Amino acid sequence: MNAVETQDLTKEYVTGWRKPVRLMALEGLGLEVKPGLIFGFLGPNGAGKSTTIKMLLGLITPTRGEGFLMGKPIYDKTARERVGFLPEDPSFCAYLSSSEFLDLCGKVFHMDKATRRKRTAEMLALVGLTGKEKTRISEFSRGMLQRIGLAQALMNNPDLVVLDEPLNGLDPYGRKELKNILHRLKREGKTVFFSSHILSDVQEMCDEVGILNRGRMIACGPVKDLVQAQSVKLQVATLSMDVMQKIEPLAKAITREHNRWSIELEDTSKQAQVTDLLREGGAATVEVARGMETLEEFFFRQIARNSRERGFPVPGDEPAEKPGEKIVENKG
Amino acid sequence: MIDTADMLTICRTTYTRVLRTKSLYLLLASVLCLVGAAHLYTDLTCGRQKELMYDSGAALITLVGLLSGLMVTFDIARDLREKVALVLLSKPLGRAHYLLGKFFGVAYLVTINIALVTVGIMAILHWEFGGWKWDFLQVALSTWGSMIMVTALGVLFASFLTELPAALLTLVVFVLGHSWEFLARTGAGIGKILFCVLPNFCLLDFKSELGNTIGVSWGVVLMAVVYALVYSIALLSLSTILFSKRDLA
Repeated sequence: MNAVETQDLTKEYVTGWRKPVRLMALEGLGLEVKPGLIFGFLGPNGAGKSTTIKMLLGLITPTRGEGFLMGKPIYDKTARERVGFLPEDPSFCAYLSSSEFLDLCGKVFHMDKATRRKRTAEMLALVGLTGKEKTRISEFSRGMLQRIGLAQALMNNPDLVVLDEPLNGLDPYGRKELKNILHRLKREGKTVFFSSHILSDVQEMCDEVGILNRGRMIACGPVKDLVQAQSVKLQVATLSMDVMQKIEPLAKAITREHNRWSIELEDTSKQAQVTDLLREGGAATVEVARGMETLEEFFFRQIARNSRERGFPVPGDEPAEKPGEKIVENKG
Repeated sequence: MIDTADMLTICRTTYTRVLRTKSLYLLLASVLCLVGAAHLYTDLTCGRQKELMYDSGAALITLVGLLSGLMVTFDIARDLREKVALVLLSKPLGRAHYLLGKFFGVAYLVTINIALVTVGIMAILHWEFGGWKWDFLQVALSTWGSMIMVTALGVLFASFLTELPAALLTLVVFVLGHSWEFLARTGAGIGKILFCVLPNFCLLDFKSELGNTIGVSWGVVLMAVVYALVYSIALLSLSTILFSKRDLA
């Protein structure tokens, strides 16, 4: 049983009365997230991440397709019994204190009074808000709001935690604490599904990622399988002129560093050929270093390629979109 | 299946929230001052003191009830804007429970506020005329019925509109609902449609009769209140259907 599963999940908005405009927010999303993983859901603004999350949680009705949370269909409200959710930029019940708010969330999960009290204290301690039990949420800073948001998402000890941009508004300490909490949840066997724009954190934390661009999933899988070995650096102690001349056309650069020769190759495709030439010339390889692509580089590469293939401007290459401007998919 | 525990949770939270609205206390204080000053009418009414006191009493109850009832439109919209609704509805809470909880929370506030003002007016009437004027309770009860309908209308409009259009539409329907007899006379077209669809607030208006010491039987008053409750149930059913289809973005 997958923690999250979608089949052909699609959301199309129709706006306007006189001349209806079709706006494809999400197109045929097929996704499988196995239990116990941290899954990063990535994409530029307007890619459809929040729409997907809201559809999974029954807040938005799909135009077509289906989705399952812990094996239960998303339209079944009991599917959400084992799920915790933190929305993007929440402000919550500003008139309640943090403990009153968590108590309210506990009531919605039908917890008895003693359990609610216990979980409230535990959650406030977990997110570092002990001592703020009586503080009104209206007095909370942005970072504290994220913390209380995380606390309410974990109130029911969920098997699946869905977080929409959880790193927003957190200072470096807050981000570190959040990462620790997410790792802890993973160790407890829980699934974390979260969207974020902070790709370095995603690469560090996630087992798998999915990348959306303009409503379509363009890459999905384990992070280590997606990011490629970008360059190879071979180091040898000695290198004769004869061998160097043979290798030169294959190498990106050959340099001398600290009594070693360093041969840099653009990718792994020519590594075997160069190694053979070195061996034939009697030069023993001292060290092989691979320069890995970062998730950020992979993300930009995929978005640019997909945008070009579909005839859209590449984000970053185009003039900034006006605020509120909608991206309209041409459905022909 | 309606889970009353879920509904009560939302009802209590809503009541707590609207109770913390400072402007509400200002309104109540103003109304209680007006009620307190009602005996001044003696010098101004040329013998029609009782009629005027019933009239102004009913108007004050209507004002308090209307403003309290309209709070539901602002409360639901604020919940959606602040993403409280997203947080709660992403938990195993049905949308119908949420909406009904909101209705009952505000309806409870309407009831308490109307009861407070009624008690004040009854005390003044007792002071001015001696003896308890129980027939004023008929005015209070029928006005309460009207305000329950207003609250249900507020829930209906808030289920698919933002706060300002929802509040304005509720007020428009409230005004049109008092023109029900006029609409009934407009034989065809949109007037006829409105006549068939709009709530009839005239049915719940007994202040003229009671102010002029024309007796109204409790049976008639209760039937009018039953009408208001049945109409409110219909409005709430429609609201839950509309809200269940709404995308909560």
